[in-house]
Amino acid sequence: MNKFFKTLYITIILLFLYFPLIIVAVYSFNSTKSTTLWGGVTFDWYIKLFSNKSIISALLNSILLTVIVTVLSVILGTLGSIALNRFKTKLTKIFFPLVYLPVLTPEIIVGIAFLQIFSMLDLKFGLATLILSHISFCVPFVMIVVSARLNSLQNNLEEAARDLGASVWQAFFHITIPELLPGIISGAALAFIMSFDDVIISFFMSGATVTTLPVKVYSMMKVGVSPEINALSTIVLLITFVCVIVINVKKPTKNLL
Amino acid sequence: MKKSNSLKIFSTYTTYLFLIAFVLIPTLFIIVVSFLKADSLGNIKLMFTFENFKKLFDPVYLNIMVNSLKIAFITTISALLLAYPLAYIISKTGRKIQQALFMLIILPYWTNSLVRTYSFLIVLRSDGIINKLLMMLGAITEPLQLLYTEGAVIFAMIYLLLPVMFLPIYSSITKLDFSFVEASHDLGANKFQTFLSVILPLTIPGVMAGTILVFTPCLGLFFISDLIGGGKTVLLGNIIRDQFTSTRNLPFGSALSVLMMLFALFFIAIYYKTSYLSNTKTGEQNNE
Repeated sequence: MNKFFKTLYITIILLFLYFPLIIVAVYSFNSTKSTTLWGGVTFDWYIKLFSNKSIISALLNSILLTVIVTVLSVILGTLGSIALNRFKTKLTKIFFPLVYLPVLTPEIIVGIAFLQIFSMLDLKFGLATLILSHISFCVPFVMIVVSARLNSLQNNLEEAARDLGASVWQAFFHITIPELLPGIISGAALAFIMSFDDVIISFFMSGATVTTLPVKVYSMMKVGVSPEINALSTIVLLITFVCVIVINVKKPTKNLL
Repeated sequence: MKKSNSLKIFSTYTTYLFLIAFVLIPTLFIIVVSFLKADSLGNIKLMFTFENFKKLFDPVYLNIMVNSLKIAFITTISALLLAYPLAYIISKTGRKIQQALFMLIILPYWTNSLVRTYSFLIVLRSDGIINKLLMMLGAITEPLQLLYTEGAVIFAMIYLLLPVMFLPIYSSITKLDFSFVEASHDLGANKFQTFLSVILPLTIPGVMAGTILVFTPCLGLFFISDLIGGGKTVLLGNIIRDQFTSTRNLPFGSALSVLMMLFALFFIAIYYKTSYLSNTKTGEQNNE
């Protein structure tokens, strides 16, 4: 293959991946309702969007949910990767493959499993059920990312700290955590984006009153195409792009996955 | 070596607790429910039965499953055929360009899948930009019905999952030890032979990981068939969803989910086998 065909191939793929997104973003500023005829630049759809109370409440729910889920997932995931990598017992070896289960099972199965368990326990569907279910698929990803970092480190420093008289917890907070920080940040970003973007599990978990932004967007999309959805989609795209760029300025991409 | 300490106890037990409560119990729950009876309202009755699994062989469901598997299969193969050359070409570019291209391919993976599906819908609509362009070019006179077809569903899935296929293939190609490739050339193999007998076998783990990560979501992504297929193309995910929302037959829905998990497990088993094989292969070559 010569250079021309290689460049052409990459260009076509990139066009395939980005063309639809660019169309949505561009037409969110279109003053006519069409997605082909251009009527001039307007911010009306954005103004309309922000005066829609149910969208704003879904957005706020999503942000609150994502922040709580990220914090809890990072704590549980970091503890988990330490347990699985530093303190190897027979039992952890048996349990370890379970970490991969939520990563590999289709989301819909996780969703319906929690749906059945929570309705059996008579829990009210809302923020609590959303948090619990989101943790279940975010923690394993944090564990995998933090474990990768943990495995690349040697525990000499921790041992030195212990030899110098630090308690286990002192060594943990002053040595292990700072050393793991790049992995923890990547894990947090991963959990944040996965939780913020999730549609399928949230679809089963949201209640009559509490819903997340993606679930709200989904119900709007089912009704039909509208310029407000274009505007909302553009905002969601921007949030993710900014997140990813912020992470990658700090850390090379390969550590993320 | 060291005696148990409080950090060990705390971290180990929270992790066990998490894995049991959030992973093990939900999974076992579905398996158990799939063997229980449903009452007339579709709720669970505590009676053991194989009925739900027998119902899977009902021609109506069998057809949907076969079709869903067919769609997943076509999507996976197409994504593989697109992603492999892409990963290979990108891995051969200079460092700076490579980082930028890697980033550009992966970025869509991070963006909301619903928004991406929607953008696909916008482009394919009968008054969408593709139809308008084709009409402007004079290729067609009437707008084509692109949406609400099975082809559109497959295209949307490839669109959504291409970065997922790309990532593991790319990482296995960049990890490839190119002295094997040079050795193969030195021993007189041409490019094609080298690719078939050296490069491809050594990157099979990446290909398999990509296949797993693409194939099973294809069975479950119900919102794609809702939005792009207009509900005409029914996936395994759609009937599972319906069992829990409209049709209401929880045990049957669980049986369908167990089936889906089995498909996933099947691929994971193959993955372990192939990655084990390719590891031993390189191991032997290293020893020689």
